[in-house]
Amino acid sequence: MTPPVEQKSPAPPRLSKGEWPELSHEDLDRAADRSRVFWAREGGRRWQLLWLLVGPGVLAMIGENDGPSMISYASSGAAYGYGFFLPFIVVTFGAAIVCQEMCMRVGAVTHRGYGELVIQRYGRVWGWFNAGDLVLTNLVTLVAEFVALRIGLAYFHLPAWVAVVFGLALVAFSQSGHRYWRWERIALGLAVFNGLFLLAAILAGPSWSATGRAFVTIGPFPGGSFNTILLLVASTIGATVTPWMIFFQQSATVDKGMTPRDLKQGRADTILGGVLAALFGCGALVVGAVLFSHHAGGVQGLAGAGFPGALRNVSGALVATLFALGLIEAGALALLTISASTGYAVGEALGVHHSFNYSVRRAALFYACNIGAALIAGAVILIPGVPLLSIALNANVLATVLLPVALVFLLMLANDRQLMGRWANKRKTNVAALVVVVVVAVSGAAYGIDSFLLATHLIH
Amino acid sequence: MDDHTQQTGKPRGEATFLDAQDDTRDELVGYLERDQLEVEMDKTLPPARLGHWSRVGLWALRVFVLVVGAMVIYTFIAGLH
Repeated sequence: MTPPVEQKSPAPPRLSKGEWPELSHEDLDRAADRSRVFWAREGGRRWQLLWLLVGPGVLAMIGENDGPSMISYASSGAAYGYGFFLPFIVVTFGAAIVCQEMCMRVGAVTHRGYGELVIQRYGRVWGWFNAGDLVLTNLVTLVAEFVALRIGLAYFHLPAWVAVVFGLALVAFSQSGHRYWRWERIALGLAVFNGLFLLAAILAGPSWSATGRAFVTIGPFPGGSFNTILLLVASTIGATVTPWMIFFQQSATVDKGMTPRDLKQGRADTILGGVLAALFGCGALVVGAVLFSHHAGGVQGLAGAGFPGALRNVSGALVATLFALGLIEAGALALLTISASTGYAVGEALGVHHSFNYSVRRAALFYACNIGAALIAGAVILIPGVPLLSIALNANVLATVLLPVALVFLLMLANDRQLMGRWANKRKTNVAALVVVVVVAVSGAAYGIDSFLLATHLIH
Repeated sequence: MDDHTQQTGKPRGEATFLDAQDDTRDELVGYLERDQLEVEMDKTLPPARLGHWSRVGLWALRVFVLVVGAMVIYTFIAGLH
């Protein structure tokens, strides 16, 4: 077993000559990455250090600003205008930061992925359930990402097959270097374009006074039935904290080779991702609110295929183009991150190699799951007559079973002193984490139960 | 320019597996913690020792999964029609 973490010093002992055991290609690649971190830290180059260590947090957070989420935010804006949901998005990303910081910390301290730790510490049944449900949910979510990609490309008069070819080529290209670093930098490059939603919001000519008032008064609260509000609140939470983010950030932290010495930068990475994602998410909502102001709302969910078109009529071609490009980015980035989380989850569940630093031959299943998940989802959107809209709209409901389970195990892992040593949750962290976990888990469960009651017509 | 750069013509950390000869391998691997090595990461951790309340909590979680799982599967299938 790995030596208990309590025995480690803050500056971990480096291996000396003759002390290292059999080394793999992956070990040397990761060591090369770590050497850059070491020298940046030794040289006191703080910005370079942050640049080297930023990645998993930003990608998890902005990856969750995916196609369906951005359309969901814009739909809330189009239906309810400026108001409660603007500050609510910020609060939910605050909650996401609390959860994702724990993933980062557990990954950096244990050097093991979430799925792997659940299997080894709490048994195969829980581990396989987590991985199985995640794979199923990810497949459905990936279909929704291709739908978003298709909506964005349709604005430029490009057909569905272009969305599939583009998405698959991107996933294959990002993995082609067999280096985590390369994959991460490609994904980060894409993530920058999530900012198009903010740019679109600024150019759409929103009411800044109404925007400011929404943040100050946390209102007006949307009208409607209790069920409608519950579904909206729960789906907004569900669009911010999801199981794939937990799997992804912890595994990516391990793949990147982060250690307890990097926790400060890991936190900065997570907070930066949360702040940017909240800003861009609010941008999407504000764009929708502009439609509301012009009484051009009523574009709901992924029926938002008409969103860019409606925006062109109200705010002009530039804003509509930026929104369509934003949707393409949101779908494309989520294809990379959600495919990666599928590969990590399967690799960890089956105990086979799972890292972008391995060659295809050494981690065949990891790469196969990574591209296979995208391939299946892409194929689904090309099948004539498949209820794409229903699949996309129901994608979130599948995650509602896994989310509470994933969060409970995350909390248990972060409190496991045998694993985490002095980096286990402190009392204050536990209070914050417990509140977040309970609220998110209860909202998720309520969303699942409420959706069931609506589906069975027990409530209306 | 430090010794490493003079000898290899590359800045520190730019070495790849192919040019990682013994000395470079020695130097590179020193940047890893022992439990970051593949042979260490492949080792299995022992199961967690759970207290009474943790076990009760996990049983409650099992019930939650079965009940809500059934609801969600029904909802998803119904939603497709």
